[in-house]
Formats: sequence, structure tokens, C-alpha cells
Amino acid sequence: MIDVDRIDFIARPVADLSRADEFYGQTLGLARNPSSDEHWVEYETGNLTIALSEHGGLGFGVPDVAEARRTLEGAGVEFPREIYDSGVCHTTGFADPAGNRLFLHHRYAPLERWDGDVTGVDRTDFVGIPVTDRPAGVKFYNETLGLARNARASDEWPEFEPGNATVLLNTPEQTGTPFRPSNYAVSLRVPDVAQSMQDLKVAGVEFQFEKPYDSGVCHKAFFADPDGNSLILHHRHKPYSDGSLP
Amino acid sequence: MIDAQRIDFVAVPTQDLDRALAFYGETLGLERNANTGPTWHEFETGNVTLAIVQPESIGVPFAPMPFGAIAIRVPDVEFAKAKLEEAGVEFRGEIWDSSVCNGAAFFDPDGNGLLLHHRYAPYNDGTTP
Repeated sequence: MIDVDRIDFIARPVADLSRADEFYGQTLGLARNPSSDEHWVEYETGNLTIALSEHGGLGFGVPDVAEARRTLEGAGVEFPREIYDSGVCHTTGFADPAGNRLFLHHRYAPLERWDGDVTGVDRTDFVGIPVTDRPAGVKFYNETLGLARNARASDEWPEFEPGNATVLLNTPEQTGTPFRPSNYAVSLRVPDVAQSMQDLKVAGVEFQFEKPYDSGVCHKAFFADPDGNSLILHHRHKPYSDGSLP
Repeated sequence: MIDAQRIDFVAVPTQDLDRALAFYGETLGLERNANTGPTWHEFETGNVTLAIVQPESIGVPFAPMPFGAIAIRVPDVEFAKAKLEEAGVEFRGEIWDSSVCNGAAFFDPDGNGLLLHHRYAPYNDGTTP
């Protein structure tokens, strides 16, 4: 008798690993364990790992593979190969009397979380801009620049929505940091930089240069909000070398 | 009033380009915009592009972005903070809980103010941002 903690994995026998890999990853959309290699691919279903390999089988998680194997060998079970050490786990394969493949398995390395990228960044929730005078800031971003306010956001943390992301105004009191404007720019896409520049000049906004700057791929006009935070009017007029536009 | 359509990029200043590229690409694990480089480098956060700029190369004095300039969404602030601390990233203070979101303030190698952010509560109308 051995001490089985849980089923660590179910291995599915697949003749064509790359096709199976595509099916489990793309068609089913399961999360792929990045430690997978060309012989052994693992997918997570939430409570159980599915392993794809040439041979199938059921992996029993045990506290000590060598000890469990000795116990089973004592009961007449045959193990065709030595215990395999993958670098993170011990495994050894055997079969039940009907020939169904089984494994004793113990992962001795700590389980790493690997879902998504290194930190799992999936979007920018907001771009924070420090202001010393909140009402003046709200007026500038809402009325002068014409950015829509997020009506669900509180008045203490006013938010604006220029399409793809939120701009949040914060004050030094709220962040507990001395006021320092951003020297570097949030770049706002406009259809026509010269026209928008003209419109903002009428509203009293000053620009760093008289005319839009042309980098060769985009037009830019540099200005700042009333607190001195840098902003750019931006329009890319030239596609990337592959013909696409951002 | 102008016709602002979207944020095309947020410029992130650096004094050490290679270090910044390693930080945003490897430590934070952001996807590089393959159409950029060698003079202009962009990383994607899903909805917003971060452009790594060298201000001194265009005659602008370097100063880091203010505290909390960019809040990046992560599924688990505690997990992401632990991963970044393992990588030697400096955080300011503990994880906060505002009663609608968790966050943690940290700095890139140039001292630019960033936040890990995760809103767990919906708005009053039931929607989530």
C-alpha cells in the first residue's frame, strides 16, 4: 500500500504532439505550462494537469517516489526503468494488471506560478498626472482638450477617457509626494496636428514650437497642461515598414 | 477643443537604454513592438504603448516620471509585487486596499513612478472598467 496524495497529472497519448498542442492550447484554450518541451507538454485545467506525450498514463502524486516504488516492488509490481529525475520532479512508470500505464510522481521543486507573462500585466489602468489645482486641471482636460470624463469616477479622483486608456488627475496631498510635473509626455492622437494646435492656441495654450514637428513618420506638437505636465499632439502619417499603422 | 482619439504613447524617460529595455521587456515582461527600434523603442501593455525615450539625447534634462505615473493592471498585486521584489525592484510602502482596488507603488531603474493595480470591485452601476 502506498500513500497517494492526489492525481498529479493525466497523460494523454498523442501521435502528433504539435497538432495536439495546438488543439489543447488554441482550440480548447487551456493555459500551457511554459516548462513544456518537445516531448512533454502540460496544460492546466484549474484542478488537474493534462500532459500530452507519446505515451499516456495517470500520475499519482506521492511523498516519496523511491519509497513508494520499493513498497510496490515488494507487492510484485515491476518497474521497467530507473526513477527519472527531471530536475523538478521524480517519476517512475509502471502498469496495472490490465496494462494501463501509471506513474509515481513527486514534484520536489516549489511550484511556480506562471500564468501569463512575468507579472501578468494585461493593460494600463490609468496614466496618472499630478496637478496642484484640481478644478483647473479638470477644466483643462475636460473643456480645453475635450476629453470625456468618466462619470463613474469620483470627483476626488477625476478620470478622463481619451479612447483607449484612462487619464487620472491626482494631487500631491493624495499621493503623499511633493509636486513634480511630468517632463515626459502623454501623447494624444489627433487627426490633424496643425489644426488641433491652432484650436488650442485660440484657447490660450502655448506651444514649444511655432509649427508642428515632422519626424518623418509622424507630426508632433509639444505643449503642457497648466501645471507644466508635458503633452504631445501626435499623428503618425507614415505606416510601419510592414504597411500597418499603429 | 481638439479631437483627441486616443493616447498614442506615454513616454518613459531613461538614462540607460539597455537597462530600461531589459526592465520593461524582461522584468515586467511586456511585449515589445516589433516595428520599433533601433532609435525608438515601444512596449505594449495591452491598451497603451510605452515609449522608452532618452531625453538627454534630444537635449532635454532627465527627470524621472512622478509618483504613480503609470498604473499597470495585474491579476494579482501581491504575486506581481513578490516577483518584482525577487528581481530587485524597489517598492514604496505596502500594498494598499482602497476598498475598490489593490495597488503597490514601485519604481523602474530610472526612478520612474509606476503602480501595480487591480480593481476588484465593480462601479456602483455594476460595470467594471
